[in-house]
Amino acid sequence: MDKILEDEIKKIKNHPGDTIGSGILDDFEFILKKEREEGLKKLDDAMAEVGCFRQKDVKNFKWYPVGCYLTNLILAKDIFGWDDNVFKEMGANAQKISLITRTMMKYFVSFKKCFEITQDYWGAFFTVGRLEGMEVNEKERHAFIVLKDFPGHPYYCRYLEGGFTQVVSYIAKNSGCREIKCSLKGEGEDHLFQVTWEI
Amino acid sequence: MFQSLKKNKNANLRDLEKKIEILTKHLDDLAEYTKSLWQFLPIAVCSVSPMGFIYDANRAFEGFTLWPTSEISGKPLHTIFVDKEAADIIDQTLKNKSISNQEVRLTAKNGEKISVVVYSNVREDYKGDSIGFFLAIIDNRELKRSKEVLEKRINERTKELQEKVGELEKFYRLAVDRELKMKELKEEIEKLKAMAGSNN
Repeated sequence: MDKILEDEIKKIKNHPGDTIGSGILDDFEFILKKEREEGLKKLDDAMAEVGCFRQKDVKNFKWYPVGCYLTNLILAKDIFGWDDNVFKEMGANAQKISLITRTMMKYFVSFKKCFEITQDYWGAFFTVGRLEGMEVNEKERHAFIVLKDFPGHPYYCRYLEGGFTQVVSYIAKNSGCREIKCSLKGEGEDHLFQVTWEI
Repeated sequence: MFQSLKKNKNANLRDLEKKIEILTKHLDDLAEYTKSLWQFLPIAVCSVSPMGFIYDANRAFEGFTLWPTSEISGKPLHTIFVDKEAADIIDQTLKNKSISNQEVRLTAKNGEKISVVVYSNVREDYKGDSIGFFLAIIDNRELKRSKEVLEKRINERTKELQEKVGELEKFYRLAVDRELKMKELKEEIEKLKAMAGSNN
């Protein structure tokens, strides 16, 4: 492992908070589809090498360090050479197959309801950070979502763009999402996303 | 006293942790059961939002419609049904809470049009508000084909029977005519005999 990668992983492993196993397992399923068993095994071995969880040890309703979860994305990029679109695809995929999302789908019935529960939704996956829906403009068909107290990683920002796009697609067509301010780039304290859609 | 309180607190915490572990195990088992059941169902099933977007679909749906879940998820229902029929399914389900045995035409991903029957059932939250519905799709082609073959056979047999009845009617008329003619002839013979007798 090269020094830069090693340092990046060392830094990200200090990320605060825990994430639920169900979300991690959804991402493993994506990796399995995309990179097949051999790819998943490579990633799994690399995770164990840096002292993070192995796939077989992850349970749906147990909690795991966010630092290790983000390490998973960094290693995926290193091993598979994924571009931003793949991370978006991964985020979207998670919202298609997530067990937790299925239980929250009762909220995906209107923009108002959807944006009301953003913090509850985030809280179902993470013990750290706050996700807030702001300024829903149904007339102009856009809304803003802000993620606070969650440094994350740029790959995860792409992942969230895909995830939010997918969630809005259950309410309106031709949905899209773009991060317009990133705290990791020094553009403020939080991550600000804009979602758009058509009727 | 404080030691005793601390001991009790620790015991309570351990008890809570044990309960959480048990509940977590139950949740894991329930999740596995639900996932297995959903994927096992041999009938194509999808879940749809009240706005008519497909949330999720099972393996049978993927096989039947040729739409992988990863692609169909988030697409409107009129991706697989014509606009009017999709709108009808959504409206009727939300209005009547369910539909049953409704015949529609499905368009598979490869463009093939398939005759199907659909069943739906609304999902409601604890307040009774609709949060979407399940839609089951059953291939109607075999049933329709069998029905057409049966109808064709019935029509052919009916025609055969009608022909046979026609023949019997013809024979009956001939037989009756023959009987009447014989009766006529007998009467004439009796008349002639009577005439012959009176002449003597």
